Amino acid sequence: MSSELLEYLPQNIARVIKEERDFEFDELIEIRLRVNQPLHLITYYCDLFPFSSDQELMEITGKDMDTAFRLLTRNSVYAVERQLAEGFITIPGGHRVGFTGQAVLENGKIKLIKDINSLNYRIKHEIPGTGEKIAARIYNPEFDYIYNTLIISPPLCGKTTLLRDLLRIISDGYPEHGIRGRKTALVDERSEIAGAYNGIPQNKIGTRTDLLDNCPKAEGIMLILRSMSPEVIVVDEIGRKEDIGAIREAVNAGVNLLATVHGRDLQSLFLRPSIKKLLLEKVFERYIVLSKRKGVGTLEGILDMDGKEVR
Amino acid sequence: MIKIIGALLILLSGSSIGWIISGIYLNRVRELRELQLAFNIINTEISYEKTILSGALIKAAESLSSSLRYIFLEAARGLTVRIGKGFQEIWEETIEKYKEELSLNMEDLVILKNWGLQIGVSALENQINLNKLIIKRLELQEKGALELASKRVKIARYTGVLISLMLIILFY
Repeated sequence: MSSELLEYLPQNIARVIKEERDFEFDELIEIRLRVNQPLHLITYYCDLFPFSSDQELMEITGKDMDTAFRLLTRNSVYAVERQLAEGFITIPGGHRVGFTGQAVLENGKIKLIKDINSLNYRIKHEIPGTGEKIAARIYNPEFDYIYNTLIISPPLCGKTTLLRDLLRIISDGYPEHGIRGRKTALVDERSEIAGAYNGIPQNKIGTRTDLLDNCPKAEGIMLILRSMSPEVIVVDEIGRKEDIGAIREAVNAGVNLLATVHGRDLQSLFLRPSIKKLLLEKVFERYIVLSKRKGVGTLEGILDMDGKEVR
Repeated sequence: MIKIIGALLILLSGSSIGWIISGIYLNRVRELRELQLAFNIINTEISYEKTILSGALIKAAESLSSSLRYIFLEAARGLTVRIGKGFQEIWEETIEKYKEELSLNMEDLVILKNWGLQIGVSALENQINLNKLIIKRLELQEKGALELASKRVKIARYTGVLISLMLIILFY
């Protein structure tokens, strides 16, 4: 875990996490803060409730929550208005912090969430090389073509980590498998993939990647299509109605697409009306299904557009 | 000869005191003008680019001179270094630290401090209104300061010269 993340936690909590010896920092997946509840750490292997210096469980106070929220918004609530309505903030390095509290509605839609009572720091894990075994299976050497690919998994199964590494491979090229580097555009709505700070990517996203940061996917795809002549567009967590239209536009324009979606498996996506349309239209030619059955990032299978296993 | 030198010294000192006092009135006007420009920059940064508060303060500081510049820079630094304080507290402390070096009066300082109560804690629209409000209030303060300066600058300068002349007559 990078020290930059600890900068966004109140000092007393950061100290307890630093001093906790029951895990390696790299194993940490989530840090959860809930008002009047003990500090909760989740690692790859177990749940932990650390003790404070006086050997009591480290309980989170309302003041801790206020401080944490102030650090997360960097005293600039106006700058993260959209994120406040969506329920998460991405901090430099690409770590996502989700929160719950009291929803304020306007015209039936969430305008913002106030009186935050729970924070979930989801720690980004950049693991270069995770996509190397998979890259060759989403590439058609005969036509020198990257298949339109959808990565499917429930949360916390390594979707974004794999997407980031595939993006890097496609952008830089992978000569061992005959894959040349391609002009790639990343529409990073939540700043999670590139982990951009002030628009500059902090993660390895490849030498030929153009980054459109903090931009809604649908608008971003259209903008990129018009302005950057990409060969491949990469987006995270598709699913909204407007995303579907933009994806169709991109694919019809001859651009290849690499995307992720929340789901247990391919069948479960047929229960989501907007995604179902894309599946029936066979927009995606490869599906990569992940789980954490044998640990985070377990590859359950790579399927073709008809749902048949690809070897 | 000594008398003439003494008289000249008294005249020089008296006039200087008059110029220094008048300078306070003129500096206040200048500081109020600089502050308006600074808050205009902050407003543009916030409304157009959604720059975070520390960044907006640093940009604004570039347009400022003297101690006002330090107030903005130090407040920005207070936000970037994690010290467990809210902006309101940091802003007030910084103003208190530098107020003796400024020509602003109590009323001006209260306006400045009040801005720190609301900035950064609400939606964009409220922030723009808040910035517009402080700019308007600083404009009014500047108008008042100008009127005061036009009345008192000359008086202060003349008074300095006249008192020193009086002293010279009395001594000699």
